[in-house]
Amino acid sequence: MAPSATGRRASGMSRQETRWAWLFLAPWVIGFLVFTGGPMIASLVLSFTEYDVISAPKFTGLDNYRQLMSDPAVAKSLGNTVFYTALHVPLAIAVSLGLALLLQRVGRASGLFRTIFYLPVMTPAVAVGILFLFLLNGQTGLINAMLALVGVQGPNWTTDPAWIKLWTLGSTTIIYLAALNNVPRELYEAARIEGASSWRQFRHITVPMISGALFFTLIVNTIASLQLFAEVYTMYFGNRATQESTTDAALFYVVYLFQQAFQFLHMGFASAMAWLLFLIILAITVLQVRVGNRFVYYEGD
Amino acid sequence: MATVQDRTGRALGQPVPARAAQIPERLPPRQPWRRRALLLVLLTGCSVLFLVPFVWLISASLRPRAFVFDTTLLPVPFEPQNYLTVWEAAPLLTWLMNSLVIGVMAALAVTLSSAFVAFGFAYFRFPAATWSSAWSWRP
Repeated sequence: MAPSATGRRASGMSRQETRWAWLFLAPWVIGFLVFTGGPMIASLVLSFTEYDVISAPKFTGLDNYRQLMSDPAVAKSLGNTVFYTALHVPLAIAVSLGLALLLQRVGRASGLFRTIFYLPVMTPAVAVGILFLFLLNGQTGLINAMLALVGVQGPNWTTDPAWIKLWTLGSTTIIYLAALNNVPRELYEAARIEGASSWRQFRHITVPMISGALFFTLIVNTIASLQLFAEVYTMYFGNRATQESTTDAALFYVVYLFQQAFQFLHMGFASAMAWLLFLIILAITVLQVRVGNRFVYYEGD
Repeated sequence: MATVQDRTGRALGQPVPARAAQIPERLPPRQPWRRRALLLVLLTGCSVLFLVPFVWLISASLRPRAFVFDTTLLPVPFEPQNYLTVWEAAPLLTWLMNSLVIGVMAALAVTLSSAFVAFGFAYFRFPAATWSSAWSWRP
């Protein structure tokens, strides 16, 4: 930037810049207030009421929250969801990073493979749920049939969305690929001249240089896993037949929330559930940011 | 006029000192074609895993109803009429148009507004920026 003639003019200019910046932020601010902030406050208010959509909400104080604590299905679904998240997120990050490393190394041919890995992401979540319901069927599913070909007795795959979601990790892979391509070549050259092994190059150059991307994907994948809904719902609760044959073992938190809200019309209770999940996600994110900031390297700083 | 110089202060057009030129030549990884072949094999293997569900889906769509759940990847018995039947059985065109309208509008709105908003976030650098973007993003 060119130095300005006087200090007064500079501050005027920066004030104008600030105004412009706010103007640019306006779509997000308005969108947040109308589509996120407003509904959140509404659900907070509803969480203290009994509301069945038809009659007016009735204030019941902390009743919903008390019920939340004593409902075994809440604890069960939360346990399932947390277990799935703890299993899926590290697995997804490791597999995505592996795929991204392969893609980066292969050079020119990466376009085709990148497209293949991204295809599942473009498949609607509902279609993915139904597709895997067929594929994972213990008796007639293709996956067990293929496992049988190599002599493995496939399990009855009752509740394994962790595997399904591994099919749709293309976004994370693409983010890693972009991050990997941004690491300056000179660092590897310098390391090789010093005689660093591939593992040490990976550990001390690649990982720190893409730590920003790793951190970002850790946070968004954790949140998305905790909020998993569409695939599980279509797989296990999509129609009466699957719903009746499904046990609590496949109950995910947001699926139970949806049932409470739109099947049993317990809007107040569902709102309380939503707020509990929000607080849990908030706590986990704050923790991740606190811990993460110690390890993450930001180019700009 | 001064001679044009590169970053190291060497005049351009002068021969590069021999030592500096040698370094990159010692660097290429050993057996590059073998590594490349291995990479391609690994990537192809992963691609097959990613593609099998699609292939099954396409072949299922080409089978008669009673054979949909077959565990084969081949469309036998072959019944491509499914694709005609579905157009007659449901108002697919309307559904496609609905999706198209929403999709195009959403893509335009999100691309435009994201570009603007990213500028705003970059200008302020407030800590909430990371979180708010993390909360609104779906992998």
